[in-house]
Amino acid sequence: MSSSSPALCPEERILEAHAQDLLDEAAAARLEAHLEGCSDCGDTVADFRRGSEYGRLLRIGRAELPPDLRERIIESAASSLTGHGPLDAAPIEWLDDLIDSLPEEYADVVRSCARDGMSFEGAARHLELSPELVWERYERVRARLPARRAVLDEE
Amino acid sequence: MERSDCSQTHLSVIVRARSGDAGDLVRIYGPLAFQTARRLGLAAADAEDVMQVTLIEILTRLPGFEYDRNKGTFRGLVRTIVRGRCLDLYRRRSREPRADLPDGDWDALGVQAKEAELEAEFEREWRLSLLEVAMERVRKEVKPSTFLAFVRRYVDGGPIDEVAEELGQSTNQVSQNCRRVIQRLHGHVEVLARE
Repeated sequence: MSSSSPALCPEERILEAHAQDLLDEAAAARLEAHLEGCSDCGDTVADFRRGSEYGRLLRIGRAELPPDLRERIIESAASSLTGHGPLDAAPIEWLDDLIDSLPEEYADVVRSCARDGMSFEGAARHLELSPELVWERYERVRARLPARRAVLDEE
Repeated sequence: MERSDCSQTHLSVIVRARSGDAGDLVRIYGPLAFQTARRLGLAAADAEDVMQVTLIEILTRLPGFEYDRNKGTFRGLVRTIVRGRCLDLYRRRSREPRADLPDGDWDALGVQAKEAELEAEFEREWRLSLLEVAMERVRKEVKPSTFLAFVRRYVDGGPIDEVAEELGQSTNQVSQNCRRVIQRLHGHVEVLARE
């Protein structure tokens, strides 16, 4: 499709207003007639409509997950790849390998808390240990998770 | 021409993650996994655990991931991992009575009943994650006043006259700046969406 002479094209603010349905009926009709013969202006209107869609998506998304929370989640995601990862949600098959590789007293705690889903208090009752000791052993394993993971992956 | 982009941003997120640059993969799929787990009924702390494990699993699987449209998309794989980890967590937790989870099995979470809704939300969250990464890129590429024109107009919803006065630009300059940002956003989103 050929384009009209730029001299005849409306300013971008007019095309933006049209994309946002802000022109009155007569002005919108004149612009529509121009757009039929001007692909450049048609592209511009399409860009502004895309911008409106982007803006709508960003507004909804930021209402559900505010920017500061999103950033914290991203930091947490990055830390899982370089630092401590969670045990609670680890894949079952991987947890089994981990448990097999641990000394018995640590394996019991990880099996109870991460594998079987017990609370620290529940595991403490089950293993006849104090909740503090259960927590301490669990955290020790968690703190060494990346190194353990690397060893298990190599194996 | 404003500031140029000299990084490897033209390469797909997956290719860059394979070569050791997992920054965008984390920024896109971290929040996506977190929000998906939340929509599946997990509390924020549990959703964060699932997100972390999901990312570890994604990176573990990445070297062997071959893109094949017939086998599904990469984000589809991510979705499958998130759901699997949520289910693992739910099953383990349901062995102990908890007030914040319903009794019964996966269906008790109502997941199957609202499958289509969850899938639509997943797709929207994915597009949003791409857009947020694109926003960060464009913010670094253009002048602050150019980027701000878009944010004030399209994200904050400010009237053009007010934004023009606030930024010391004509209304037409505001429109031109907004369009520059929109075009750059579109370019980045297109590249980021490649799997």
